[in-house]
Amino acid sequence: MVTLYVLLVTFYLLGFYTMLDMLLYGRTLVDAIRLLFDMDISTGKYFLLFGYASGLAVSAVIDMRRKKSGRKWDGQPR
Amino acid sequence: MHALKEKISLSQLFFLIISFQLGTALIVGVGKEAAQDVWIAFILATILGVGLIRWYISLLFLYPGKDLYQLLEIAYGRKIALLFSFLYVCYFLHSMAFVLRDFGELIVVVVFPNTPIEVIVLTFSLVLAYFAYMGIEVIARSVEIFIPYALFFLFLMILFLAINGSIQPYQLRPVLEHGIFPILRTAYPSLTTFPMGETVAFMLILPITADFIHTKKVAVWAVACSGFLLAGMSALRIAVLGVEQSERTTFPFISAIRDISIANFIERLDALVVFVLLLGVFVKASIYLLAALKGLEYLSGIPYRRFSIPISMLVAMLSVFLAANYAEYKKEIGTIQQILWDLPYQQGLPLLLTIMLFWKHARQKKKGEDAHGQSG
Repeated sequence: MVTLYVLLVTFYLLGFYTMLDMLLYGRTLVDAIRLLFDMDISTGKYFLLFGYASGLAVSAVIDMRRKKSGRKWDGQPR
Repeated sequence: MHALKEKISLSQLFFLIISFQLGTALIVGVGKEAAQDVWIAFILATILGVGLIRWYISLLFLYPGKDLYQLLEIAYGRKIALLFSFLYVCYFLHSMAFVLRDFGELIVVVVFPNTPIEVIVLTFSLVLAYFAYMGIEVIARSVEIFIPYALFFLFLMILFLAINGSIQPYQLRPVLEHGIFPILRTAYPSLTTFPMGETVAFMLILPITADFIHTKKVAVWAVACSGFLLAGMSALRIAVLGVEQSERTTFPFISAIRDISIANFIERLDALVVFVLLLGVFVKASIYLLAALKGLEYLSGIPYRRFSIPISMLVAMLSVFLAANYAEYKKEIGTIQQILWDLPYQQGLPLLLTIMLFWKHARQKKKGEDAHGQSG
């Protein structure tokens, strides 16, 4: 569930930025996405993607632990 | 869902609002359109800012103990409230990304020119995630400890500028050179949305203040104090740099402080500015993060602390992704930010909320009176 919400917010905001890029600067969808994830080694965007992936991994672990324990979020049994 | 047990005192709230308002606004130099009359625009914006915070608090007073998301539910019902809450979560995260980007840009320019901005925002986001995990009480206590230092450093900077002879009040003249309209346009919407209207995030913090009944007075004083402080600092900026140089530089306050050179010994006081900025950014970003996390807690029913690491990592990524370069970033922070984000979430949705809440409140009151009349 945590992962799902994180992904939902990610897609909404990245989608918004992509749309803004297209409307403001006349870029195509492909160009806007390419610019967003411009993987030039000098830009250091790798760090960010690694950070985001780590955050997502943490959320997946939280979800799996909760599922395994068979308890609700408030600690009550399901 | 975990019960809300955290409480902050009125003095902590006061310092939180002051640091939040000063935040990045002090350093990045806002309101450049009003030229040397920016301080007048700030005073007008402060009056509007006081009106805004009074408005937000009056909504909270209708249903004491309820925060923004719960008020949305009372006004529109659960389903529509979920949609609006999600939009507010995105707004808070987007605003936090802007704060982080400002911070990253300044640190890269002033302190670490060879370090990628990505590393700076990522590491700072980790600190913010930790603070969000610890909760509002820890953030408030930290601010209580650090704000005297920040205010002392500000005082020290003004004193050094005065001793240095850098303050030239004639640069503030002529007053109203281009008439009143540029000032009014700067005051509204520019300065009213940034930084005054950003107090909408406090609709999530105010309900957990220990002495809720007195929050209105404290919050109004805090907004007024920070507004007048910003007006004074912007006048100081112009008096030191002049209008042209102030408009050209990215971080005018830093440029003004770099002017200090007393006996060739007290120089390069950038570190003091960075300290003040760090405190402001820390408070602003933490409050935004906390407001967004509480929204996610409301949406999902999962305790907000679980989201702190993944969401702060996401915001670090967004802060760099939101604009390809600094020129695009400046363009977006201008009109686009105001029209698409600030105005709708700071004034549009609260206006709709006000209409609905007052209507519901009046209807409930009328029902209560009718029932009382029938029983009597």
